[in-house]
Parts: sequence; structure tokens; C-alpha cells
Amino acid sequence: MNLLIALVTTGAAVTALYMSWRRRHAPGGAARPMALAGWLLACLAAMLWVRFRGPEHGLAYAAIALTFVAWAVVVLAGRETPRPGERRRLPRVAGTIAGRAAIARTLGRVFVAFPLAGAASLLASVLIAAGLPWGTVNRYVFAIMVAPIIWGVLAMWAGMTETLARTALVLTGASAACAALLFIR
Amino acid sequence: MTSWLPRFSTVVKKSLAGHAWLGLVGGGLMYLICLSGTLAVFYQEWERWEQPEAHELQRADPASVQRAVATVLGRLPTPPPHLYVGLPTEAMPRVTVSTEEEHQAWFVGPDGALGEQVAHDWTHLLLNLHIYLHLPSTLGLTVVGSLGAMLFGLIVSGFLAHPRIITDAFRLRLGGSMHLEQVDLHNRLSVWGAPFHVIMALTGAYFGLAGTLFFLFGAAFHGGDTEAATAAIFAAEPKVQGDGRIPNVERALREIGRVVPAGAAATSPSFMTVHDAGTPKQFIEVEVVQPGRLIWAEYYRFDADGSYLGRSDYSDGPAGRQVIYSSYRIHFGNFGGVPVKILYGLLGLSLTVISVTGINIWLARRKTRDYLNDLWIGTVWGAPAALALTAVTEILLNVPSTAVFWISLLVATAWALRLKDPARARRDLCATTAALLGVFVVGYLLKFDTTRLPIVAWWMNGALAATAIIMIAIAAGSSKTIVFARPSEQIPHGDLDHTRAV
Repeated sequence: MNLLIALVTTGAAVTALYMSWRRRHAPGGAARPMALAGWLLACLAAMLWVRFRGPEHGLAYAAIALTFVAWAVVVLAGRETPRPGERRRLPRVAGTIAGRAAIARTLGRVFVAFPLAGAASLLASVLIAAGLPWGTVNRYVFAIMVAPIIWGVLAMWAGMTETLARTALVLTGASAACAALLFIR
Repeated sequence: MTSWLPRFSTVVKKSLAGHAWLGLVGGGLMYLICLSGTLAVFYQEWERWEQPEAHELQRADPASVQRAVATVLGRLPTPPPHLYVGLPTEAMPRVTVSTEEEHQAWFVGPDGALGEQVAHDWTHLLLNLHIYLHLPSTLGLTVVGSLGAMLFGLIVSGFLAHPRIITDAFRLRLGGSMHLEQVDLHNRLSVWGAPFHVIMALTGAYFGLAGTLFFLFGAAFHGGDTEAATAAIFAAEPKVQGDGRIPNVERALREIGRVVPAGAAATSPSFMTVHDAGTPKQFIEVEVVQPGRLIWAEYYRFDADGSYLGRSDYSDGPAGRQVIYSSYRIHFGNFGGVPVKILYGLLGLSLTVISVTGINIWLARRKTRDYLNDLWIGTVWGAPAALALTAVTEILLNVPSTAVFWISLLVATAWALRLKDPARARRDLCATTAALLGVFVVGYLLKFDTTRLPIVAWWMNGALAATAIIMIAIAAGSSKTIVFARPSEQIPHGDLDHTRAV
């Protein structure tokens, strides 16, 4: 019964969000209050999951339930036939890895996104851990959790930059600076 | 007025470029990790299915476990660094005794007698693909860990690159171009599954990068001692001095009932490790799952005589230790029984579909069509076929099958490259997968005594048979695609219409 209450509340939250989405172009501004109600209901649902299943399992169940209910709403209610203008193909982009120059450019980007960004992110996260005013365990775990976040963002940067050499230089410099601060005493 | 901040449209454009590039570079490997991870959620069920005739029991008798441990230690020429005892749980109702070495693992009967050897080779092939990509362990962990970081980058760049992703949160345009369908499927699965995807990325990266980070912690803060850095997070081993006799695991198991706090008493021990077995430094560690918690377990320690030494404080120690010890259950969905595993399987499947549709979108938007289209379709539909083939060779024929997986994947991509017809390649590979799964299920039922199969074996075979039917349906759909391509997808300027969805 408890699970049903939490699940129904999650369903109500997603339904409110969906109703808000449906009315996003409608006059009268009903979409915003509806969206707010949806997110408040999502918070209430999370609290119910936590109450019924404890804080750890409860939050996990709340997130999983929200995902599956939303997917269900997308499949059941969000399906629509594209407008005539949308039926044609989306704009084309150039995309080929043919030719030596393109291969070299790609390999260079891979080098910057993986070893260089990896070294910079790992060293930076260890340096951050060194400066935190917490106990050893919490500092180390913070570094472990933040390292992939920094690496992911730096790799994204490597993927979008038009000045790869400058990016490589910045990452190398950052790595060297972090290593110097950590190891040279 | 000029601003040092880039224009929003520029950010979107660059983020899209970064998102596409990251997805493309990690694409194939990410797909293999997601596909194997989806299956790996059920690794305990696969293990039971792989050796269905092993004895199953709900509870282990401490005296029987003691007999089994003594037998194994008597059999081994040298004492092992670690002796592991798997105790029956709801997901794995079997008792095993094993060491780190290959071929040193046995099932234990209710009387403590050693049974057949534990050999979950196919499940390990699957897990090793997910965790190491079958590379040497340190390299494999690092590569997979780095792909976890890339996944996080893809999530961030995905949100930045698609400003309408929230506006279109419920939109699923079907019936137009296949390209549009793929875009909507990719974005809807991504946006609502984002919390799960972030968790997968961060915990996956942790598994892969922990070794390197502990090395750096050791170098920076512990005078180069990596073990000291590890011990700072995970509870340090107790210092004991005994005489190297056979450890009294029976007493330790009986003591557990006394030392476990009342709140956790409902759970029985799930695993036991004898560290430095057979040496004066040996001690016993018993894992007890904590109800309602995500930490893997609380660890209760005993000396070789079975006297209680203390616990590791994973359940109420520093927050960081609890977080790190929760990562495994969060990553593999090992916290709510079979229902949560099924949901995790579906979430894993969604991430697999996202990785495939992402590359499909990129391929479809190119101005050209080349070998990459065929290479990709060979990888996507060749991997299930290769896994099905390894089940046949590993479980039915007892042939070590890691090489079989990669060679068959290579053959599948070569076949797709030779055909230069994605629809036909997809049809052929799906039909092959269906045939292999059919052969496997029939062979499985002939190989094993069906009267002794646990219910889980029937469920797993049923799932494989259902997958075979789905593959046949996809293969049939592929045939129609060739004949009945939608007019809306006809590409002007004489381009070949081979950029359909994989």
C-alpha cells in the first residue's frame, strides 16, 4: 500500500509536468504553476519513497520511478506525428574521418581528451583533496568522485575546441602545476 | 556591447560538436560496455544458470562450512593469501569455497563435502568485457574508467548542445523520417534517464580510476605507500598473532548472531574471507548485508580461534567511506531483489540504445556514406551474435571463448563491410543471433538434467528464447525496410539511402 501511494504520487508529478508541457504555448500562463506543482509533487513523492524505504533505497526508488513513469508518459501520451516541415531530413553535417590530416587531427584530439585531460583531472582532484578541511577519508572520496567530473568536462572541451594546441598547452601546464604543488616540497 | 562570454548559439554549436566527437570516439567501446553491463546486472542469475545442477540451500550449517574449509586448506599445496567462502543468500543460494587461483573453487554440499568445481566462465567473460573490455586488468580498468568520465562529459555536453531538450521533454515524433525518430528516442531516453546515467558514469569511473588515484594519494600524502592510502579509506587490517592452525570459521559464524546489532540481525552472513589463511597472521572477516542500506556489507572480524575482534565501520563510519562502499550496489542495481534488477536491466538497455542512436544520428547527418556505416552496423548487431556464439562454445562445448567473441565480432563487421547494405547486414546478423540462441537453448536442455534445473535457469532460458524471437522480428523488419523505404527518407542528389537507423 505504501509503495502504491509513493508510485501514484510520482505518477501525479509526471502527469502535472506533462500537462504543463502540453499547455506551454497556451495563453493564460497556466503552464508555469502546473510545472511548479509537478516538481513539488516529485519532491513529495521522493519524501514518501524515503519514508517507506529509508533514505538510501528510498531516493534510488524515487529516481527510478520518476524515470520509468516519464518514459511511460512519453510513449503513451507524447507520441505525435511530425508536422510536414519536420518530415524532411535534418540539416546535414560534414563528418568523415578520411584523409591523413583528418586522422591526425582526430588522434591529436584523442590524445588531448584522454591522457592529457586525464592527467590534469586526476592531479587537480588530488590537489583539491589536499586543500579540503575534512578528514582523510572524506577528502580522498571527494577527489575520487570529482575526478571523473573534471575529466568529462575537460574531454568535452577538447572535443569542442578549435584551438587544440592551446588546449593541450593549458592542460599540460595545469598538470605540471598541480604535480609541482603536490610533489615538490 | 561585446562580452567576454561566448554567445549562447556558439556554446550550443560547440557543445554539439564536442558531444558528437566524444560520442564518436567512445562509441563502439561504450556500446560494448553498456550492452555487457545490461546483461551483467543479472550476473548472479547467469552464474546459477551456467551451473544449474549445483546444490542449493537456504542456510549454511557452520559445522559443514568448517569441514569444507578444512578440506580445501588440506588440499592446497601452499596456504592461499585469501580463502573465500560464499554463503547462501536469496540471490545465490549456494555455498562455495575458493581462492584467488583458477580452478580452486568448489561448491559445498549440506554436509560440508566438496562438490563440483565452480566454473562460471561465460559469466566471467561477460563481466570481464564490461569491467576490462578483455584487456589486461590495469589497462582495461583504466580504459573503462576513462569511458565513465567520457560518459559524464557526454551527458553535460548533451544538455548544453540541446537547449530544447527540456522543452521537448515529452515529445516523441514517430512516423516521420527515421532520423527524426532516432533523435527523439535518443533525447527522451537521455533526459529522463539522466540521473541514472550520471550515477553509472561516476561509479563506473570510480571502479576504473580508483587504482590510479590511490597511487597518487600514496605518492602525495603517504611517502609513496599506496597501501597506506588504501587503508586510510578502507578499514586497515587488524594485527593478530596466532599459530597458523585451521581457522575456526564455525565459531565465527556462530558468534555473528551475538555481535551483530539488533537492527541488522534479520540478515544472515553473505560472505566470509580468511585473510592469510593458514599463517600466524590469519583472521576471519564475515560480511553481513545491512537491510535498507546501499553499502555492500558491514564486515565483522574474528581471530583464527573465532573470537570477535571488531568491525570495519562501513555502516556508520565517515560519510566518504559509506559513499564509496555504496557504489557497487548502486552501479549494479544490487539492492532490491529481482524487481530492481529488471528495472536496472531496462535502464542499462536504454543507455545501450542511446549509445547506438547517438552514432546513428551522426552517421545519418553526414554528407557521405562510407565504410563507417557498415562498420557500425556490424558492431551493433554483431555483438549480440558474438555473445550468443560464446554461450554455445563456452557452456555447451567447454571451449574458452574470449577469443571466440572478438573473432566473431570481427567476422560480423567484415560481413557488413562486404555486403555494403546495412539493412541486409542487420537482417543476417539478427537471424544468426536468433539461430545461435535457439541452438543454445536446445543444447542446454539436452546437456543438463531438466528435472534438476532451478527455476532461475528456466527464466534465463525463457529470456534467451524471447530474445531470439525479437531478433527474428527485427530480421523480418529489416527485409521490409529494403523494399518499403519511406518516401520521406529518400535522399536527394542521388545519395544512397543506406543511412537508415541501425
